[in-house]
Amino acid sequence: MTLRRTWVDTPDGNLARKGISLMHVNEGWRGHLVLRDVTGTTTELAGAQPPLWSEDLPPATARQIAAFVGLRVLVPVRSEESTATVLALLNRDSKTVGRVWFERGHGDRVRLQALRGYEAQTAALEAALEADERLQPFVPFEPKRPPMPRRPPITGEMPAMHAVASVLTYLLDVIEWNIAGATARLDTEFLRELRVAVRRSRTALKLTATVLPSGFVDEFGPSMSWIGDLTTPARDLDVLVLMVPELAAALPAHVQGDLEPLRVMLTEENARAYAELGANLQSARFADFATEYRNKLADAIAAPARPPLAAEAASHWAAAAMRRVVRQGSQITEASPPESLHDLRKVCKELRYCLQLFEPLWVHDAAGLHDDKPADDVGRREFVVELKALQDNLGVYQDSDVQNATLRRWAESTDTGQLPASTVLAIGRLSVHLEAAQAAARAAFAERFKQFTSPANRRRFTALIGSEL
Amino acid sequence: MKVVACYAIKGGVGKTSTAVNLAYLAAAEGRRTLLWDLDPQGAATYLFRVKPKVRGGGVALVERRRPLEDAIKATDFDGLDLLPADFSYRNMDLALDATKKPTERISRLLQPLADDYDVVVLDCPPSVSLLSESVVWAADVIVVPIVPSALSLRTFDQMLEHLVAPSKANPRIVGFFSMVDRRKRQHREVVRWLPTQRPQVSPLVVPAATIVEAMGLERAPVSVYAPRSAAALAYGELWQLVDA
Repeated sequence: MTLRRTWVDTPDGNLARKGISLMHVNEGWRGHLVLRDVTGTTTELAGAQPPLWSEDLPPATARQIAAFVGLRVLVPVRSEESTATVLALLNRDSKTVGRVWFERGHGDRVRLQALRGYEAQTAALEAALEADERLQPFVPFEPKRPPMPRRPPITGEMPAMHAVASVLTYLLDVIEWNIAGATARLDTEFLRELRVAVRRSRTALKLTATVLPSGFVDEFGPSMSWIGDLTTPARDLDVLVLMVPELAAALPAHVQGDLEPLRVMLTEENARAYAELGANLQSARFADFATEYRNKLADAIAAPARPPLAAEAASHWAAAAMRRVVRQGSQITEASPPESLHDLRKVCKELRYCLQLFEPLWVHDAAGLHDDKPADDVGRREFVVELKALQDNLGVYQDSDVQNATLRRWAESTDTGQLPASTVLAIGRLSVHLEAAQAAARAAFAERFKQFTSPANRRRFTALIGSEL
Repeated sequence: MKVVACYAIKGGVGKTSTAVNLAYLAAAEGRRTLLWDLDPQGAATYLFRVKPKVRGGGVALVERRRPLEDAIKATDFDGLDLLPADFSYRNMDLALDATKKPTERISRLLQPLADDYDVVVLDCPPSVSLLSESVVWAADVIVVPIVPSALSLRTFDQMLEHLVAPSKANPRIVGFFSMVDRRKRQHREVVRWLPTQRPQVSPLVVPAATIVEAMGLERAPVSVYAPRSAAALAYGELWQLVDA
C-alpha cells in the first residue's frame, strides 16, 4: 500500500505560526485528515482530498481554524510518500483488534493502530514496541512556515540609504512572491498583499527620495505606479464580489436574490481583469523592471555609507508625514469637497506605511532587553490605534463613494441589456444604503480627527520619533 | 448523518444480510459508517466477530446511563464501526416505555454521533413494537426486504398502516425483493406484479444464493469474498437506490 501524507497551510504559513498542523493522508482508495491543534491534541477527520478552503473541512474543524485561515487558500507545504505493509492483530475469535504498519520511505517506521474498543488488547504489544531498544521514538514532522520574504534587520545606526534600499528590496520580494498566486487566482489575498507592497514601495520612494541615489525615483517611480494601476481593476472587483453578500444582507430578503445577476457579471468581469493583470505581471516589461530595480537596489546597499543615519531620517520622514496629516485635516470643513477627504486618506496612509516600513526603529523594547530603547511600547501602539481609527473613518467614506460609483456604472450598463430591471432596482436600494454609510462616516469625521490630533496623541507621536513636530 | 433502517415485520427475510452489506458498501465509499445491531439475536454482531455484549447492558445505553460512544467497536473494515447487540435488548420495549418520548429516543441517542458518522445503519428485530416506532422516527430511509409470497402485499401494507402512517416522521420507504428463487413461478410473478401496486417497492432482486448464506461462514459482507457475484452486485444497486 502506498501512503501519501500532505501537509497543508495558508500561503503565509499562518497555521504553523499558531502551532497547528493539518495533514491529509491518502491511503490509495481512501483518505483522511489529521489535525493537531495548539494543545498538541490530534483529531482524525473525514476527507477524501486535501482541503482547499476551511469550508472543505467538517464544520466543527472549520470553525476551529477559520480565524487563522480567513480568506486564504490552503496549499500543500510538504508531502511525503511511503510504502506500507500492514499486519492485522487478531484475537482468539480471529477478530482484528489492531494493525501494525511497517512503513518504508521517509524514515522506516513501525506504527501500532489500536482499533476502537480494543485498546486494552493492543496495550501489551504497544508496551513491547516501546521497550524494544532497536526502535527509536518517531518524531512527527513539525510544519514550518513556507519560505516567505523576510523583513530586513534594519537598525537606527545604519545609513538611511542602506536601510531604505533593504526595505525596498524586501517589498520587491513580497511583490514577486505573490505574483504566482495572484495570477492563478488561488485566493484574493495574494493580490491584496501584492498591492499593499506596491503601495508601500511608492510611499517609500516618495518619502525617502533624498537619501536614494540620484535619479533613482525618477527612473523607477513611474514603473511602480504602472504596477499599482495594473492591480486596481481586479482588486476593486475582488472587494465588490466579496461585499455583495454583505451588502445584499442589508436588503429585504425578497429582493436579495435580485442581486445574483450583478454578482455573476462582477465575477465574469473580475476574471477578465485578472487575465489582463496576469499577462502584464508576466510580461517582459515587468521582468525587465524587476531585474533592473533589484540590481540598482543592490548597488545602493553596497554603496559606501553616507549620512544621514536611518533613525534620524526615519524620524524626519514620519514627522513630515504627520505634519501633512495635521495640516490637511485641519483645513477640512463641512463644506469641503469629497476630494479633500480622499487626499487626507492618502497622507494618512503615507504616515502609516512609514511607521510600518521602519517598524524595527519604532518598536520599543517591551521586554526591557536593551538599554537604548524605552521599556514601553504602549505609546506607539496607542498612537497607531488612533491613526487606524481615523483611516477606517476615511476608508468607509471613500470606499462607499467608490462602490456607489461602480454600482451606478454597472446599473447604467443596462443600456446594453446586461442586467434585468429587478437587479437595477436592487442596486438602487444598495446605493441608498451606501450613501447612508458615507454620510455617517462624514458626520463622524470631525470628532475622529479631533481625537487623533488631541494633545495626548501628539505627545505619543513626539515621544515615538524623539523630537518635536 | 443519514440514518438507514433495515426493517421488516417478518423474521428470516434477510434484514441482517442487507444491513451488513449496505453498511459495508457505505464505508467502502469512504463514508464513516456505524452499524447498530438492535436485534438481541446479534447476528450482525456475530458476523463481525464482535462479542454480543455491551458493558453495563445495552438497555443502559437506551436509558442514557452510559454514552453510546463507549460501546462502539471497530470492525475489521476501515470506516465501519459496530454498536454490538446485547441480550438485554430483548427488554428494549420495557426500557423505552419507561422513558420520556420513547418514540424519539433512538433519534436522540444518535444525535451526539452526527459529527462522527456520515451513515448509520440500524439492524432491527422483526416486530411491531415501541422500538420499531422509535426506529421509524429516527430513520431517513427504511429498507424493507420482501420475500415474494402470496402474503407479501399484505405484510408490506401492514407495515405502512401500523407503523409508518401513524408516525409524524416521513421516512422514505425502499422495498426490494430478497431471497428470490427465479425457478419458482410465484416468486417471478410477485416480483413482476408487486412494484406495479406499490411505488415504494423496487423490482430490485437479491437472489436466494448460497453465496449469501456463506456470510455466516466467511464472517464478512458478500462484497468482500464474492465481489462479482449476483448478490454482491444487487446489494451494490440497492445501496445506490438507498443513497439516492
